[in-house]
Amino acid sequence: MKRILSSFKPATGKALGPLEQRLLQELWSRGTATVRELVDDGDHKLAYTTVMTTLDRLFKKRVLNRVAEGKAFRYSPRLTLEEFQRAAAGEAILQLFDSGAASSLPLSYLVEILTERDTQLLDDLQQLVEEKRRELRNRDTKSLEPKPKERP
Amino acid sequence: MFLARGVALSLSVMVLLYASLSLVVGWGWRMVERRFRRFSAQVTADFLFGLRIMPLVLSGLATLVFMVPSFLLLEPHSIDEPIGAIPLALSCCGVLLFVVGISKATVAQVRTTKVVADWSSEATRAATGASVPVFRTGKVVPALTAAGILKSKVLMSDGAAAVLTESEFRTAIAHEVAHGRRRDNLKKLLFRFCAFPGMAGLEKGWSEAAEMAADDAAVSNASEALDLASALIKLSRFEPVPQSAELTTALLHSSAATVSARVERLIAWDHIHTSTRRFSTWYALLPAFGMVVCAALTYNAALSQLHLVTEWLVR
Repeated sequence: MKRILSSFKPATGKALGPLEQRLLQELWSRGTATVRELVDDGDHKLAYTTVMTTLDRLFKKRVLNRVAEGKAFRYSPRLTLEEFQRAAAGEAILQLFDSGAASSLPLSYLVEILTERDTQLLDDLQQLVEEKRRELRNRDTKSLEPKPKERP
Repeated sequence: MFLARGVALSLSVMVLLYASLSLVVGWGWRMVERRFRRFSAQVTADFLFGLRIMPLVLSGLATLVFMVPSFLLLEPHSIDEPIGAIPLALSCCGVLLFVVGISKATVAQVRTTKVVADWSSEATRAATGASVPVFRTGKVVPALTAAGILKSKVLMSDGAAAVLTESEFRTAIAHEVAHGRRRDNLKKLLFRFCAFPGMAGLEKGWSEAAEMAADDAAVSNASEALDLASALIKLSRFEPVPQSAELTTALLHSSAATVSARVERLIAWDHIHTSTRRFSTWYALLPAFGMVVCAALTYNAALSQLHLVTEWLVR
């Protein structure tokens, strides 16, 4: 995720800095937040003005939306995590195709990487299934075991 | 002339309604779909299907219930008016939409019949005890496919039969039977009939929800869910997966990401089964009843208003 965030360039063309990435991730998990909420509840120990400036920068980069709430602003991500990942993936693929190599080459690299990833993913999923099966078997065995008799 | 004008105006109103409703559905379905995610996959799939065919059903109903009576009751038979350029153009669009829909549905059905006939040419019936006939073939076909619009049958490759254990095989077949019971191929045919630009996303969303709904229908406990998950993983390793025919449903019809989501869902079957909210049909029946009451109370006024609009269209 970190790699996606650092390589992604929003509509303004400027990449996201580490602090911007952290705050954006926090906003995704919360949905919306004011500067005060992020400063008080977050475990990053950042100054109020730092968070305020960073959120303002993200708003100017058109990564966040904001609405006035009293004297402050309430910020929310303009894109959902899924939409953001899609945009980042699209941008990365376009960069790859624009790199100047023959157009079939990047495509074959992609297919190769995806095949490897798919195999790895299937292995991981198979392992999860086996673990869950063991868990179920253990649960069944425990429920079949006779309960120890209470001593008088 | 009276009849021609009536047909042209009815078609015009239907086209206008159909196009505007389709645009609204194509643009806004994601916003509504998010609210349905807390319900079961079956409810989500049914809702998306309803949303997809809503423009056709509502525009057809509105034309039959409002437009036709409004014209027949309020248009004087004696006046010999011309049809008008706008109704003529709109009704031509209506006829065109109908012809395109019919031809798309026919082409899809003919192609599917051809492909399935080819797959089934050397197939032998397998004794599985399933409620639908299951055929086994040595040809290169998708691992498991449910074919047939009204009467479904399941086609299975020899490869799939070889790698799956008995319990995995049973749940995989149950998944395909569920597609047949839910008439998913018929729904696909309907989508072809009411084709409209910008609906691909909604149809893909329905397809993914329909796969998950069939997964849910195929399993009744955590152990069966793991069997189906295991079958999905084993069959995903087959390379390359042959493209399935248009109006069929295959066990591995969806993308790798969706297969992964389905497997993860099946692994967490216990949790999902208990946390999914039930959908009461009252949620749908109450607004429908309200709409019928409103329509009945304002019927006369609606007919005359509609007649005014059609008069404006003719001029």
